Amino acid sequence: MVDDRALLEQIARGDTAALGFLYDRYAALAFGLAMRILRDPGVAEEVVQDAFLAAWRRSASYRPDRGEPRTWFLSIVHHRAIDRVRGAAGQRAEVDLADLPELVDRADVWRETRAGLEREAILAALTGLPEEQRVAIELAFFGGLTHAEIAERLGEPLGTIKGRMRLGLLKLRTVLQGQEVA
Amino acid sequence: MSERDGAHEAIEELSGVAALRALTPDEVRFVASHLAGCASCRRQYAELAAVADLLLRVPEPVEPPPGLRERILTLAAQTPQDAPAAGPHAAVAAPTQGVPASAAAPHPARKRLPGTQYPAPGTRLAPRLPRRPFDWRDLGLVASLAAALFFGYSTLRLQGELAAQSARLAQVEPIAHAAARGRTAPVAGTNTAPQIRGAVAEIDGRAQLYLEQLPDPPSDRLYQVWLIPPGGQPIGVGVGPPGQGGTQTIPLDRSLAGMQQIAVTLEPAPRGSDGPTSEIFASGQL
Repeated sequence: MVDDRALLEQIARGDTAALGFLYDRYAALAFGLAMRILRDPGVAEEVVQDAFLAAWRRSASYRPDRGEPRTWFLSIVHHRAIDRVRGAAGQRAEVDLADLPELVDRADVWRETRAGLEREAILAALTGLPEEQRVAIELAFFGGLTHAEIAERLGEPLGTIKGRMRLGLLKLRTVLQGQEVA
Repeated sequence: MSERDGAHEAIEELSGVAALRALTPDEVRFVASHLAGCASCRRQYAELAAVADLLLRVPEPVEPPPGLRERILTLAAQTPQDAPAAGPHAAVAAPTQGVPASAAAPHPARKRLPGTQYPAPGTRLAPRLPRRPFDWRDLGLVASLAAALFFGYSTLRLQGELAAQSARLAQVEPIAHAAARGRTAPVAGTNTAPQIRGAVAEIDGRAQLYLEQLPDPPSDRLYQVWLIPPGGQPIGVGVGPPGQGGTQTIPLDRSLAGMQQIAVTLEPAPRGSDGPTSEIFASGQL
């Protein structure tokens, strides 16, 4: 089986068949992610289509040090789905933190661990978080709300929400880091 | 010193929010500018962003609707690819307004003979038409048609514009031995917005227009799509979301069958106009 990076190289050379392979691998994950955020099959389908075409167009700019192709691609889906939720152009930032080149070297230390983690393990770790941390994380990542909107919705101070997000992510890392690839 | 410490503290506090992509645009700018010059905050952010990335895999996979795969591959065959980023910082540049490098730069995968030149954006190759942006309301240009009905006249102008546009396209993009079954055609920006790229496709009776790099319109305007039958008048077949540019997929509520051209204009939200009222932003021959 061709690995994902080789697949992206082929796509960058204009090979639509390779794009078809990428689709076969990740379309269901992408559609599931878009559905979770958008809850509308029609809109989710459009977002997935846009994301694959963006991947097609931008495949030459993928850099391996930015992480796995799967993460790169699903991030495109996530960004576009969140853009849809937020709607107006005014809500979009022109700078994407993920694009800062210095940031790409994400936590190399446990990259292997991360790549091998199964969905079930990640889900279990998320479910195991203290309720208020899990809710803050889910409203942001799958709800497309900004932290200010979450604070307002939950009637909590902004600082509290920021703290829950950060502590929740740190806790997730601790839990998942303990689970070396089985 | 205290100011610097304050910034570190604020960034640390925001790092989880940033990793979960829940910052407001102003905060993104603030965080990005600090991270660009601060290795320790960067490391901290990167750690949390790596955890947040794992959440991408949490939702249950769901099989997408049939036909999507084929539509994507068909549209991709019509969609030019970007050249790789020029330098390590190229990706930071804001890809919003203006003409991105990708609009003019040839893709390495597209074979070109040495010495062939891509025309500058907006260069019109043939036939020659007025160089300035097309204007529906400009009735003075062709005196002999002054008596024609407005829409009939507009359509003539539109067709002239489209003929020129497709001539340009044929030169710029030796596009597509278009894929597959279904109807597809490339769509490209006019002089008004030469960076726009896109394609229209109809598969299994479902027509869609995919567009990239649309300029952000005012909040009370939206992009409206028109189909034009041979010798007929533009028919409004779909609108995009109000106030939104960037990348859009606009479902068309009519088949491409029997249509000759497609065009995109900017019209009042929320429903668009009965007939085109702005200059053409993008167009293509069907």
